[in-house]
This record gives sequence, C-alpha cells and structure tokens, in this order.
Amino acid sequence: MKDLVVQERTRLQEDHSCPIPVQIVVNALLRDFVFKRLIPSLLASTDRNLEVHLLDYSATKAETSFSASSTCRVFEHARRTETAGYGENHNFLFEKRGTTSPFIILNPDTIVAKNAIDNLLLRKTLGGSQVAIVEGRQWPYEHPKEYDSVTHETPWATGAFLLLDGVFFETVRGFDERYFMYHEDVDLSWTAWQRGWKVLYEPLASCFHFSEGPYHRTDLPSLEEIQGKVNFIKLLEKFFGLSGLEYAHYVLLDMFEYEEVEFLFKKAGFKLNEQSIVSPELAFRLSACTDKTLNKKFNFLEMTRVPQIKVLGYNRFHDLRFEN
Amino acid sequence: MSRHKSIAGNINVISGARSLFAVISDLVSDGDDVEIFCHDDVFLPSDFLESVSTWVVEAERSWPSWGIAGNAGVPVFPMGLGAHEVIRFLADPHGGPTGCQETVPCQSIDGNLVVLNCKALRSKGFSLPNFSGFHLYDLVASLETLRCGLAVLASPALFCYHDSKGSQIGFEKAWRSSGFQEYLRDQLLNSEVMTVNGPVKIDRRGVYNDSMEAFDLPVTALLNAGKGRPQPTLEIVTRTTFQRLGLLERNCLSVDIANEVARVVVNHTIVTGYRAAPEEFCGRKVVVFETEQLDDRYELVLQTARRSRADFLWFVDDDDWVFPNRFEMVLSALAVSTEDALVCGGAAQFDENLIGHGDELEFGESSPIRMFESTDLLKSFSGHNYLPFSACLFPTKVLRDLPEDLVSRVTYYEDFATTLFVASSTRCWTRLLPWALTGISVRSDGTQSVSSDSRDEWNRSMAEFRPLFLEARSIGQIADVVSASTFRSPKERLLRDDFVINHLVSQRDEAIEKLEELAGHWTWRVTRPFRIFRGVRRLLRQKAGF
Repeated sequence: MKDLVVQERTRLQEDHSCPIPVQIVVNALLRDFVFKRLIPSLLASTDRNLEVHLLDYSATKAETSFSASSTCRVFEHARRTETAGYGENHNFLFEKRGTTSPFIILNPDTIVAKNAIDNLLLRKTLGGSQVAIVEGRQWPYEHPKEYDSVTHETPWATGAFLLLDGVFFETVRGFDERYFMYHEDVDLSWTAWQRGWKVLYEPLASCFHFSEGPYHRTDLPSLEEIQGKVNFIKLLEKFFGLSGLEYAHYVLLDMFEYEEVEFLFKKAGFKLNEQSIVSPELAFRLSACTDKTLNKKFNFLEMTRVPQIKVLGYNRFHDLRFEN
Repeated sequence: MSRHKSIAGNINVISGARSLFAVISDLVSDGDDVEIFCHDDVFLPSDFLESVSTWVVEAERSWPSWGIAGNAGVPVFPMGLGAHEVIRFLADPHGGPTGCQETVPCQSIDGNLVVLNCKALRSKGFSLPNFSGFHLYDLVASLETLRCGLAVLASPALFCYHDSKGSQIGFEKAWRSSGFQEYLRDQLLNSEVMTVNGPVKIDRRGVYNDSMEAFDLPVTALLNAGKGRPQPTLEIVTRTTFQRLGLLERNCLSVDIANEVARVVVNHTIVTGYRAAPEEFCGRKVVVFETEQLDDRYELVLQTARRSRADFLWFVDDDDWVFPNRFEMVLSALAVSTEDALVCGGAAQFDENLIGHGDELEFGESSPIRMFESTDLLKSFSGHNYLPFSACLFPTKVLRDLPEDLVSRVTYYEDFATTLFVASSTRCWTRLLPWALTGISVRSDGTQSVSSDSRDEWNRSMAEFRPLFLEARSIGQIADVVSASTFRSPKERLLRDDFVINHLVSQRDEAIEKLEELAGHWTWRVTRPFRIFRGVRRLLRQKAGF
C-alpha cells in the first residue's frame, strides 16, 4: 500500500500535462480576497498546473484570462447572475470550460492548505475507479459526519471544497438546479451512490473556512436556515417520492408551527390539501406512530437499496463521527 | 407646566394627538435644529435645559452621527459586568437607573424623553410611517433613525423621573399587530429584537428578506454609532516560545485573513522570551523581552503593555487564532468604547487532534466543544475563570498598572488575574460582544498547560492573588456582590446548600445533646413528681371544660 501511495505521488508530481481546473464563484466583496489569498494558496496546494475559472456574479465583466504564475492561469467568465444559485453557477462554469477532466470546486471564503489538492487527487486514485467526489476537510469547523477510516467512504460531501470526476459530472448533468443553495451537494452525492459511483472524504486535504459553525446568531435567520427547510422537502421528494414528502412533513411539523410548514411546502412547490399526502389529519396519525412503526413506514434503505443514502432526521443524512 | 415653572416658557404642550408617530414627524419636519419630546408624566431636574444643551454640544463633538437620544435604551451590545441588555438613566415606578455613567450607543430607546437632532434627521430624509396610537413610536423612530445612517444614543444627561402608568399589555398587543409585524418584516433582517419593554418577535414565516433596504438592527446600530468617531488603535499580540511553528503560522494566517476581510491593517506583534528567536516571522516583527523568570508568560503581558503605543491590546496565544468573520465589528466596537473600557467577546473552544509536529503541521480532526460567552464575565468573580484571555481586548493604559508583585509571582492563571484586575480597575462599563472573537485549541498531545494532570501550579498561582485584591480598586465590592448573588454554577449552589444543611443538622444535634444533658441532671429529675402532678391536673381541667 505504501509503495502504491509513493508511486501515485510521484506520478502526480510528474504529470503536468493536464492542468487541474478550479471553479470559484465569487462576488465583489470577496474578489480581492480570492486574488490575494485563495489563488496563492492554490499554488502551494499542488505541484500540478492549475486553471482557475472565476465567475463573479455581482457584475458583468468581459471574458478575460491572464497568468497568475507560471503554473496557474486565471479565466474570468462573464455572467450577471444574482438570481442563479450555487449549482447553476457551477454548471455554467463546467459547460464553459468544456472538459471532463477531474476538477475542483471551492468556496471563495476559503484558503487551501499545503498539498491539499494533491491529497485529493491521491485519494481519488487510491479509491479505485468510479470515484465521483472527494471532499476535503474544513478547518476549524470540520463537518462531524461519518466516514470509513479504511475506505474513506462517506454518505455525502459538502460543497465547500471538492474534487469532482468530470465524466460523472457530465453524465448526471451537474448539480440539480432546483436547489438555489444548500442540499445540492447532498443531492449530487446521493445521485453518485445511486449510479454506482463513490463519495470519499480525505482528511489530509484541508482548507481554512471561517464559517459561523454551530455558533450562528439566533436572532438572525440565515439563508442556509431558510433554504435548508425548503430544500429538505425538495430533496426527500426527489429521492423518495410520496414517502419522502410524508416524512418531511412529519419531521417539520414536529419542529415548526403548521402555518410555517404549510408555507414551506408551498415554497417547495407542493400544496397542502386533502388530496395531497399532507394534511393535518395525516400529520396527526403520523404523530401517533411509535418509533418502530415510523421506521417501518419510512424505510429509506428499502426504498433505495443504497446504504449510504440515509435520512436520520431534519437535515441529518449521516451518523456523527464523534459526540460533543 | 406647573411642575416645571422655571422652564415653562420653553415647553410647548401638545394635546389631543391621536398618534405620537405624527407628533414626532411634525417635530422633525417643522421644528428647530434640536427638539425635545417628553411625556407629560416626567419630572425633569431643575437644570435640565442646561444639562441637555451641554450634552448636545458634547454629542456633536463625540458622536457626530447622532440622530436621536433618550434616557433608556437597548445598547448595541450587552454592557457592564451584569450584562445589561437595557440601560436606564431614569427612575420610575419599576425601578432606578442601572448605574452606567456614560453615553451609550443603542439599538432603540424608550420614548418617555427623546432629544431629536432634527437638522441631521431632516438632511437624511427621516420620516415615520403613518401609524396611529401611542405605542412603539420610539422603536420605530429608532429604526428610521438608523435607516438614515444616524445613531441612536442613551445618555445620563437626560436623567429624569418618569411617573409611568403605561401598560405592558398595551405594548404586547401593539407589537403583535399584523400591520406592525409587516413593517418589521420589511425593515429588518432579524427574527427578534430587544426593546426597553421586552423582546419583540418578528414572524418571518420562513421568508428570508433579501431586500437591499432591510438591515440587521444591532449591527447597523453599532456601525452608525461609530461614524465620525476616532478609531482607537489595536495591537494583536501573540506570545510564543517558538516550539510550535506550524500553529504559530496558522495564528498569523488568521490575522492576515482578518485584516483582508475587514480591509484594515491591525498591527500584529509576536512577543517572546526565547533568546534565539528570529527577528521576523511570517512578516511580523518578533519582540524578544529579557526576562529572568522561568515561566515568563505574565512578564510578557506587562512588558508588552509598557512597550505598546496602541490603545488596546489583544493577546492571542500561538496555538489559537482570531475569527475573521466579525473582525470589522470588533473594530467598530472599539470605536464606540472609551479608551479605558474592557471589551470582551466570546471564544470557541475546539478539541484538536493534530498530525505532525513543529514546522510542518498537518491539520487533524477539529471539533467545537463549547462556546465561552462574554456575558459570563461576572461569574469569574466567584473564583473560577469563565473567560479565556484571548476573548478580551484590554485597555493598554490600565494594563500598565498591573501590580508587579502579581506579575512576578503568578504564572498559570495570569489571564484570570489580568481580566479580574482590569474589569475592577477601569471606571467604564465593560463591553460584552455577543460573538466569537477567537478559536482556542485544546489538544491531548501534552504540549499544553491547560491539559496537564497536576493542578499544583494552578493552585500555587491562585495563592499569589493577594496583590490583586489589594490593588484592584473595586474588586472587593464586586466579589461581595457576586458571592451574595446567585451567580454560581449548579455545583457551587449544591455545595453551598449542602454546607447550609450540614450546619443546621449540627445545630439540631447540638440542641438535642444539650436537652439530653439537662434532662439527665438531678435538678431536673427531682422535679419529676411535680411535673407529673401538673400534667394530670391539666388533663382533668381539659376534661372538665376549663
């Protein structure tokens, strides 16, 4: 195994023929940061050549390209897209690039640690064929979800720092654009598992990502919080149909008032009425279920036959790696 | 008028109004440059006009962006060791003032007395919605002032007695009205705001307000208040022994990112007693202090304070880091503080499992364990430290007064001693920022004193706290209040209850023992026949109905 790792590292270092594309969607506020901090950190994260594809959605710019260094070229793409979501923007960049080589997706408010990209590439190779996604570790708020310490398989990969297989991405037509923001990464991961691809986690590929983590302000609802509720409904409906909607309704009603749940379903494109699956009477019947009958009713494993696709509660698609 | 005969000529009585929103609007649009609005049930001090005039002149100088001011309000962040969310410079049937002695920037003020900077408000297009009634006009006026880019203040110069007969029920009904909820949903990004009369919830109904007009109330209030005020200087100081270079580099990177995000340049200095330290590290100057102590961590603090020309010092150890997210607002918080105020924020503690050592550091697992809240600062006066060193921004000139005895003898707990000293030495109220300023790394790799098994050095250091109690001006009074209050951990409360119970039991046992001793004495035994006779007589009289 050790020999294989050394061999692969050497091969990666020697293979400069194909630059690694890096896709970053940015706005005016973070533009300076991307050029001063993020791009230089990318140069230290790999020995490979890089192509950084930037989409600044806050302004219309002419298409430009320039060399940031001898090993890194930056392409700025023009598109005024305030209403386009995360997935749509990255799909746009993918199409613009026109290649299906493995590529990186990165949040603009990150800094990549040394050797991080090389470590992602190494993990993809070591994972065998059919590795669709490799997720890098975020610091300091590392996502606490499970991953297998031997195979590095994980149920889903968060979209802040990813290595994606271009062939896979093209086959599935990229991110599902029904999600404006959040949950498109879960969707993509589940799609990968359903089609026989793998999703891996590489803890040795780190990036600095100073998000709020669990300590966000409770008086200020975030886009993530709002979108999270709506997209939870959409995700469950897409993969589990009627049962998914039932489950979403049950879970959300346990947490929020009926009027808000009704509003969320409407926003997700589903109307609550007696013909639809979600009505107060059904919710009442569901609430009378014991855990046992609930598990029997919502047996997602039975529905998908993919053990990595799991729903353990509201926006909980994984077991936790460690208890706090 | 009869209560204020000396200033009756300056009072214009408005009667028959159906809407205080309209009254305020008219005052702003048609009044003089500065107008004062107050309820008819306030009692103003005899020198009120002089006091206000003096304050207005001072406000123009110190708070150039002021729009309205009152005598009670919700500060932009909690203040004082008591973490007050409402500051009162008035007395009323509900209570007295909160004791702060300085003008405070606010999110909103109470409308019993309002000073209007009509000139500034007019120039910014201030207007109030066409609401009726006598509730919430003060909150709305505050919001509209902030929307104009102006500041809302509360000042002790506006002190009065308000003989309030207002109704809490009326307030509760008013903020729940659908019209007012709709107004709040449109104006603000928040789901809840604090007012002088209590919290007001905003029913967002799952809608994210992405309108460009909506604003975050506390943040906007903070930023507006700082406009035009001089920016105090801040120096971030990292103490290191140069044993953990990978972590030190991470520390420096976090400060660089913070500077980039906030678009400022805050000085960052590395200080050490390590004689073989390099002159520079990651682009920062390394200052080597000559110390004779084996453990120089406290000496570095005092020497840095003596050397620095910055107004505030922020010590972040080499294995910790600053959060760039709120950096800009940290600087804004300093801008609205006085130069000798202690400013505390939160700190998030992480359990880290790092890979690699020394220069080359690979990041391992990192999991947030807990959040240290700035509002827990008062609990530190109970004898247990509740706030990490890196969560505090210290006024440099107060730090310079650290007792030398304390610094030379205390090693561990130097952070605790410093926080207690500054918090009880400064005249100004402590500022308590409600967000995490730093991340704190906790590891089980044996390189940290905080995770060592033996507590001997900690206990020895605590024994050296005597100079602190002798020289920190008001530490005795604060500790007195804390020990008499319920600011204790559940375990401390249980221990205290246990102590009280044990004491009562021992008193009872003592009394029983005493009684038994008396009962066994011959002087008591010899009275037995007489006691029996008395008992029988009492029984017979009861039966006979006497």
